[in-house]
Amino acid sequence: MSHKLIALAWATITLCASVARADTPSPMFSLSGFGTLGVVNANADKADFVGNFFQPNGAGQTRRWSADVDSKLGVQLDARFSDKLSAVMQVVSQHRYDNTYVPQIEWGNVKYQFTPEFGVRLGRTVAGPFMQSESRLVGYSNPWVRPPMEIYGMLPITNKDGIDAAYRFQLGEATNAVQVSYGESSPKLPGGGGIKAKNFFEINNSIEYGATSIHVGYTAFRFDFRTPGLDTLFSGFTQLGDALALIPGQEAAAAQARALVDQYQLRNTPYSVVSVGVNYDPGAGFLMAEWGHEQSSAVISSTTAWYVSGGYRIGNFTPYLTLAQVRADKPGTSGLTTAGLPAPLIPDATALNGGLDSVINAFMFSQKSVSTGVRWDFMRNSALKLQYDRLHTGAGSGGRLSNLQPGFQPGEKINVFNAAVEFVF
Amino acid sequence: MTDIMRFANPLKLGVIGLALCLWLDPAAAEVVAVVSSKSTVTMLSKNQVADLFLGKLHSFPNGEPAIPVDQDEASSVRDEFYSRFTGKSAAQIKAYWSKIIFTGRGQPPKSVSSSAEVKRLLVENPNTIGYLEADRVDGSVKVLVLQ
Repeated sequence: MSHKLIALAWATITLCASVARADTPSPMFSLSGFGTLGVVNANADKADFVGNFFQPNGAGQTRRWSADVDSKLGVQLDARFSDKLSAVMQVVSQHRYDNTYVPQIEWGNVKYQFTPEFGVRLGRTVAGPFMQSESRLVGYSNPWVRPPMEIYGMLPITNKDGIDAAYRFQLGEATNAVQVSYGESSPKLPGGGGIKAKNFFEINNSIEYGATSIHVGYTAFRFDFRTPGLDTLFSGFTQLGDALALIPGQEAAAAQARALVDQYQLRNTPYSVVSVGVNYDPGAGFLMAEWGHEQSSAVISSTTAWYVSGGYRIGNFTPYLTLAQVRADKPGTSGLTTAGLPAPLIPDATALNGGLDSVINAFMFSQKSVSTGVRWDFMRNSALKLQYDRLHTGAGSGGRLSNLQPGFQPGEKINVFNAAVEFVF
Repeated sequence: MTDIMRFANPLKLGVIGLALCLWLDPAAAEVVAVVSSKSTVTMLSKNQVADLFLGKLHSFPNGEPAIPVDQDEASSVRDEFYSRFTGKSAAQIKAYWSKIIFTGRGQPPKSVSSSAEVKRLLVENPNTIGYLEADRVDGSVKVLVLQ
């Protein structure tokens, strides 16, 4: 469906462009872009600090300094065919799952604005229930080097293909915008594998009044999550279950092995995130906070996260401080009961149990961090940010670190230095 | 004594020169929000003016569509306008619009290169709202009274 939708959106753009050319001399096209040139240093020896869940490596054990974590370039073409009909195509090049920078279509949609207040978009649009979901890649528009990973890592998917309706209205002097969308998304994962998110439903509401805005968002979908490692683990349990089923007296163990597959395998697994955010920005400074809860199941822990961030503007300099935390509710498991199994199968069962435990630990994202930095708007349309993060992964967890190697110590404290030049054009 | 005089004179000149500069500097002139003299709109709140230019509001309180027109990005009158009406610096306004543009939610107001251009557009279309230095106000425009 996703390719069909993009194709449909593209066909509509070109069709509209030719129609618009026919009746008006110049349909309005505008080209704009954004980018980040950033370097990160992280003193992790057995893990990598990454910019998002899909990056195969980053700063840390792969290399101390990495330009891959934040560097990106986005180019956007806006087309306005009439007062009501417009289209957007945004292509972004960033460090992606296959260790390349091959550009991907971030947005590609056609919008029909029925009234100044109500519009519908068809094609690839934003995914995410957070306050900065729509602009999380546009570093220049945010105060920090990157939105706090504790919250934004709850939903690493940034776009989906489908339909999106937005209604904006005045509430006295306040502006309220509500956005409802439905679609699907299938990003690929490092190391061969991917996510398929279906029935991807979202509702976001934001109220703005003067310097204050309040955002409430909700995302829900069902998804398949496949990697070669997970496939091996669950086919191992399935095969063990099949073998046990053939052995008289092992029916209960066989059923338990199969039940473990059903319980922990990431197939059609429900996932939802609810979030609330407040931003107060009277000009001289800003105070921002978000809270979120991610409800998951199978091997993935449910998490609750928050951050509080504040900054004060002194001329072209904006120093800021952010505190953030994500806490996980680890799903309990005892794996397959090995007592009573036929002796030759016990080593297999023990190995599979160990595998399941480590997968559950890998999907338990728990960490807290303190970040402090300064944004310097050194010239028109460009800003330099220097940021230091002190990151503390939770007990038994690698936090938002990636590429964990044997010997990684959960609960480790890591120092991260970031420098980024961000621009728009 | 003569030595002191020699010092005092350039100092005095400097002070007068600085005062002159401040007086002549267009940035020092007050910036006012204006509509066409033919417009029926007379009063808006500071927030409403800001919302019209930030794309949060698309019509005047009387229901008429509003077309905001900006001045050039490099102009001091623009910086002055946003600082007075939104409390935000040029960089903050740019950051704000990059949020809107790169989410595909809209485009900033059209901008023109001078206050004369603003007045020309106001005459052309009475639904236009603009801003200019108070000393550029003439019969073709109406200064909005801020509630």
